[in-house]
Order: sequence, then C-alpha cells, then structure tokens
Amino acid sequence: MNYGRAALWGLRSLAILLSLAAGCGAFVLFLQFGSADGLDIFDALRALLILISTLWLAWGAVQALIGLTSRASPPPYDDRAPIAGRAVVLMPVYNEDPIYTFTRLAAMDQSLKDAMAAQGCTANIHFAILSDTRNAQTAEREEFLFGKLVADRQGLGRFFYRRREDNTGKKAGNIEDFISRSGSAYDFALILDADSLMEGETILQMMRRMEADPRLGLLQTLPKVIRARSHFGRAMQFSAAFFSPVFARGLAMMQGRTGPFWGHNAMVRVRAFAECCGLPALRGKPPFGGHVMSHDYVEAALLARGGWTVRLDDDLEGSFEEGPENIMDHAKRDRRWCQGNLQHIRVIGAPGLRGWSRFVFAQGITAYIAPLFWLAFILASVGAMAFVAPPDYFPEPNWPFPYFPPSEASKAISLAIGIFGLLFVPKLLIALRSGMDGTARGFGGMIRALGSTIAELLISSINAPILLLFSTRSVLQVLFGADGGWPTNNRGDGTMNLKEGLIASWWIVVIGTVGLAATWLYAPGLLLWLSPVGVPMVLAPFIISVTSRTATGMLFTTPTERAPAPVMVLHDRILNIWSEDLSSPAAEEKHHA
Amino acid sequence: MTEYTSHVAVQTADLNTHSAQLSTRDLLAGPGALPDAPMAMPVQVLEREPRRLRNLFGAFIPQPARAHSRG
Repeated sequence: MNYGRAALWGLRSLAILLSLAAGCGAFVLFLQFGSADGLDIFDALRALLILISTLWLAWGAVQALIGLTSRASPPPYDDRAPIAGRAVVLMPVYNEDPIYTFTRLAAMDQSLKDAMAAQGCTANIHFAILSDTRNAQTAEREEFLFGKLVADRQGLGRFFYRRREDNTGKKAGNIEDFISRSGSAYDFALILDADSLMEGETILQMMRRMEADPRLGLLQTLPKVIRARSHFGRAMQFSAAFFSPVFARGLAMMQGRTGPFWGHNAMVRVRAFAECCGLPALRGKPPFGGHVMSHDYVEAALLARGGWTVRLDDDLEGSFEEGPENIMDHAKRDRRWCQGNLQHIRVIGAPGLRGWSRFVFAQGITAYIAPLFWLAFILASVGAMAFVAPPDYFPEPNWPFPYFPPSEASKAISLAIGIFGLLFVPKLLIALRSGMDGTARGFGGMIRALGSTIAELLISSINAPILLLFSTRSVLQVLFGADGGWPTNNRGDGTMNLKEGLIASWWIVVIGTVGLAATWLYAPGLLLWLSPVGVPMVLAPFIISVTSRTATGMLFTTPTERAPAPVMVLHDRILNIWSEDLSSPAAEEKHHA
Repeated sequence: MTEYTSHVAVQTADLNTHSAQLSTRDLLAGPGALPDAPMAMPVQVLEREPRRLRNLFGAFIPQPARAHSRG
C-alpha cells in the first residue's frame, strides 16, 4: 500500500471512528439518563435508536469538518493543452418545455464558441437531444424547436435529435440507447439534466482533464443551484452554494478513485461507460426489481469495478442546475430517489464492487431510513413516559422526610445540545471561515452570510418534521411494494396556496395533532421537548404555502444571484429572443404548418 | 478525434445545405438524426445468482419423482 492509499484509508477510518465515537457517546449518555429510574426495555430501545441516528448525523458533520481542512484545487494538467477528442453534450428530456431546455443548449453552444475564441483553440463538440417525451404536443413542439435550434446555431451536423418510441430503462436506458447507436463516434459524453447549464470554459477544461488522465472514466462537477425564486428554493440555493462546497470537499478527500456520479453535469469516457455500465433489469417487479432507478450511483460503482477512476473535481466552477421551488416538489423528487436508493439493497452485494462503493450504497440507503429511527425514538419516548411508574418520595416506611430521586435532566440536555451541535456547528464554522477567507463577500458580506446561515438553519428546522413524514411515507410505500413511477419534474413557478398545501399535507396535520394530544395526555413532561416536531406538522399547509411564495430580499443571496454567470446571461438573452420570435404570427403559422 | 473515433465519419459533411431548406421531417430523418456509429454495451452482472440459498433450501424440499424417459 503506497502513502496515498494509506493516507486515504487513514482519513476514511478517522471519519468512521469519529462518527462511531459520537454515536456511542450519545448511547452512553442516554443510558445514564434512562437509568435514573431504573433501566427498562424502552430505555434500551431508545438508546439503540439514538446511537444509529446520532451516528448518521455525525457522519455528515465529520464530512464537513474534513472539508474545512482543505480547499478545492485542480489536478495536475495543462489547462491550455490542445483538445484532440470529440465530445457530445447529451440532454435527455422528458416532457419538459423545450423552449427552456433547447435555449440552454443554444447558450452552452455560444459559451463554448466564446471560450474557444478566448483561448484560441478548437474542439469538436456536438449536441444530442435524447427525448423520452410521452406527451404528443410537447414532442411536436420539440421537433419544431429543434429546427429553430439548428437554424439559429448554424448547427447542421452538430445538433441531433432523437425521440424513443418506448422509454425502456428511463434515463439510464435513454443514455444506453444513445451509446449503443452512436457511442463510437465520441470519446467523451457530457451528461446533463433538462435543467442543467454549463459554461463552455468548464466543458473544455473537463475534456482536457479527461485527456490528461487516460484512466479517468467519469468526471463529476459540483453543480450550483440557480434561478430559485421562492423562500424554500432560495434557502436551498444558498445552502448549495454556501455549505455544499465544503461537504463536497470532505467527500472528495475521502473518495479516492471511487468518486460519485450524480447523474448529470458530469463527463464520461464513452468507451469506459459502454464497457462497464450496461445495466440489467433486476429480478422481480418494482420497487425493488425492474430497471435500476438511481442508476448514477450504480454506474459510478461499475466504472470503479472496471478499474476506471471516478472523480469529483469540486474546483470546477460554471456548473449549474435548478432545484425544486417548494416542499411538495422536493418531496416528489425525494420519493423517486428514496425508491432508487432502497433498490440498492439488491445491488450492494454485486460481485467485484469496491468496498467504498458498497459503503456509498449503504450511506444512500441509510439516508432514507434514518428518519424512521428518529420517528421510532419519538414514539418510544412517548410510550416510555406512558408506562413509567410515578416516583416514590417515601421509599423508607416511617421515614418523615421525602426522598427526591436524583435528576438526570442535565444528561438529556447535554445530549440534545450535542445532537443540535452536530447539525449546527459545521454550518456555523463554514460561515465563520467564509468571513475569514473572503468567500462571504459573494453572499453579501459576513453579516448577511451569517444571517442567511441562521435563517437557513431555522427554515430547515421548521421544514424537517414535515420532510421527516414525507420520507417515512416514501420508505413505507416502497417497503409495501408501491412503485412511484417516473413523474416529470415540475420546473415551473411552484407557488402553492393554502388550499393546495392542505390537500397535500392534511395527513401530516392529523399525525401532528394526534401526536401532540397524545403527548399532552400520556406524557405531558415531553410536550415542550416534542413541540418543535409537532407544531410544524400541525402548521404544515401554512408552512408549505408560505415557503413556496416568491421571495426577494437580503437573506439567502448568492454569488450567481448578485452577478449571474456569463452562460446564465446568454441563456436569458436567447430565451428572450426565442420567446419574442415564437410569439410572432409567422412563427405560429410555421409551427402549425 | 482520437484513435477510438478517427474511423467514424459523423455526418457533418453535408453542411452546404442550409437547415432552412429542410423541412422538420427531412431534418430529423437526415442530418439531425443521431450518427450511425454503434458501440456495444454489454449487460453487467449486478445480482448474485441465488444458487447457494436455493440449493440449501432445495435439499429440504422433497422433489417430485422424475418421469420415466421414453427413449
């Protein structure tokens, strides 16, 4: 084992040990708290649940702490080297409005042209729209706008469009179909989502990095969320721009050659991808059988199994995506990811996988079942209080003075502080560092960045109980065999009124109300402790509606909001021109011809 | 182009035609269609065969008697 590998395993072991230490600390502290009135089965159960839950929280916190110890830097390569390979930008679409998706491609094409002119280089890059659209009207509009895209970009022979008759294998099947049909024409494929946007400069640097390392099979960028409008969306956008780079740094330091693939904004070596990533349908029916839903994690693991390097280059800027604008869209996306991640139970034992790949699958599965442990902990706590015997203040017969059993409340308070610390401290440290290294300037200065951090912590704490129940429902649906299908992402405005919020979350209100009432009746001592969980549930429709509304203001500002990236400006300009062109009577006539 | 793609002629040659001269149908069937450059994508093994477990449990399950062969 060379020094690099030893250091990597040392770092991984340290992260796991620190997380285990935090989990075990919480376990012991809880047992001490529970033993004040004698240990019972509820105490043991709750201590075990808190061990698992804290372990999971600590793992995230440790990742951020590791990320804080270094800064993203490029790998060794020549960033002005001539580019020999041919690349294709793949945009899989599925019922999205083509005016947005196609104008993104037009903006990326222009951005590439600008970057090549600035560098005085050339690169052979094509664009392929891979449509899985089922809606006939949208498909017709795609075909019409493809003609406009080719004409506008003078892209004959560079832009391609294909619509599948059946969408076998969903997005993974769509990419696989492309590679089977056209893969040998390209060295590299940049895989996008319908809402992806990337700077031409970034694409060129990705190609150079792929050429500099012939064993690099997949290069993942860290996409930043852009164009958020709502309170919820802007909080997520801020979080992705402010906190995620540090968490991603921690991940990048621990990944070694077994990095992640998040399904988009990543470049693959076509030959490696074709060689390793032909996905079979799993035995049995969905949700656990059938086509692999969260294919990206599996493809990353298969590339690593085939000896290829999978790498997250978190220093690469100019990679963007859009995010959900409200809690419901977030929950809908999460439902799909939940099913996909739980399906990995079937893949985790695949022959020949690297140990770290299996660990990544385990992490993904735990991410979705962890909320169940918290919920079980809350239920067990209420149950324990209901069965607890009242304290005996006169244990000695004929003794005139009462005996007060020692209070272990300080242990419970320490535990709560520790758990909240795991959630809050990494984010506060990130805010602190941003003030020292100047990063905060892009977020409106230190004071505003700190204010946004506290507001994000507040919003995520209020949303957490609602998302906890959505996650729990998703997990239970999957375990009971319900297939979530492949719903289209809502990429529209996303504002929800109170009625829509109520329709979507009435069952959460019922659970919150019944839960708080039961706590008040059977365990009144826990009411204060459980109100931060129960009250947001009761107010779920209101919270869903308010956080979906358009937000402007000082908080949650991000660098791309203050100064949009060049490719965003290009996209806005092209989108405006297309919108005007398409609203003209001549365009209407041509479209319906 | 590299050693892997140099032999593949993508239909970028016919650029003298202006896209405006093409109908949408002609564009989609002609220069707008994906390049014809197939690449094999072998199906990978993800699940282990449940042979061991099946054998283990199979040993405890009484098997029906084989039918006598005619030949």
